[in-house]
Amino acid sequence: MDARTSAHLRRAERNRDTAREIIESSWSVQPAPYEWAVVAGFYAAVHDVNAYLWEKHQYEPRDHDDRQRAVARHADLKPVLGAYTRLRDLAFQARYMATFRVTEAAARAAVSSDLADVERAVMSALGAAPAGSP
Amino acid sequence: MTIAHGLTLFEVGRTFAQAVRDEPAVKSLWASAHRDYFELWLVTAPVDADTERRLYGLIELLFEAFPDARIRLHVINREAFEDFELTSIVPRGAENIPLRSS
Repeated sequence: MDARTSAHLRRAERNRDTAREIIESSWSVQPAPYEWAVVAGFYAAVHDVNAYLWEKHQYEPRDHDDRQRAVARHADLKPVLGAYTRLRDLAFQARYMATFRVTEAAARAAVSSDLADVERAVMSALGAAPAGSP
Repeated sequence: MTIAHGLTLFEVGRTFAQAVRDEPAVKSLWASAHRDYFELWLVTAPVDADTERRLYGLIELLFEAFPDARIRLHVINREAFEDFELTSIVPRGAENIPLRSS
């Protein structure tokens, strides 16, 4: 595996761990900042996708729009376009919409479903095991 | 309003409206044009994550129809907002796209 691919996967794992820790931690800030779990989860997906694009196509997306188009364009990733797009938009709404709220359940679903789906698609295409697998 | 390649907000909005018009949870569709991208705002009744995911996946139709355009899709699920107020979410100047022909 190329060094740049590995670096993207490591950053994806770190962001995924961050998202999970935000969800599992006890917070004095109330409501707990689950919106940042969604943001970290999205950036885990970004690096998962970057890892795939670099390893398989030697391609580094220019920006978020370009990356999302790439997800739609490649057969390995197309099945998770809905999950990826959802993560992207939840992270957008969490950052920019003042009345948008991310509940604990919503944050868990984003990480355990949307992000996990993206990770599985990428790891399957790369022939690698998802992080945390035995 | 026209941006790159002569593509209009109306064309993008109408294409997506046709894709979602039979979705029971969809309440309204708004569209806004910016310097180099379009945004679509799909307002729904409270829906579960699976439904949201499916709606987000419909962006594929727009990517296929408009391969050179930058298009961003926002699904606005009322349930996720405190004091839901559409005017504070959808940009000023966004156009309402009819979901069904009158």
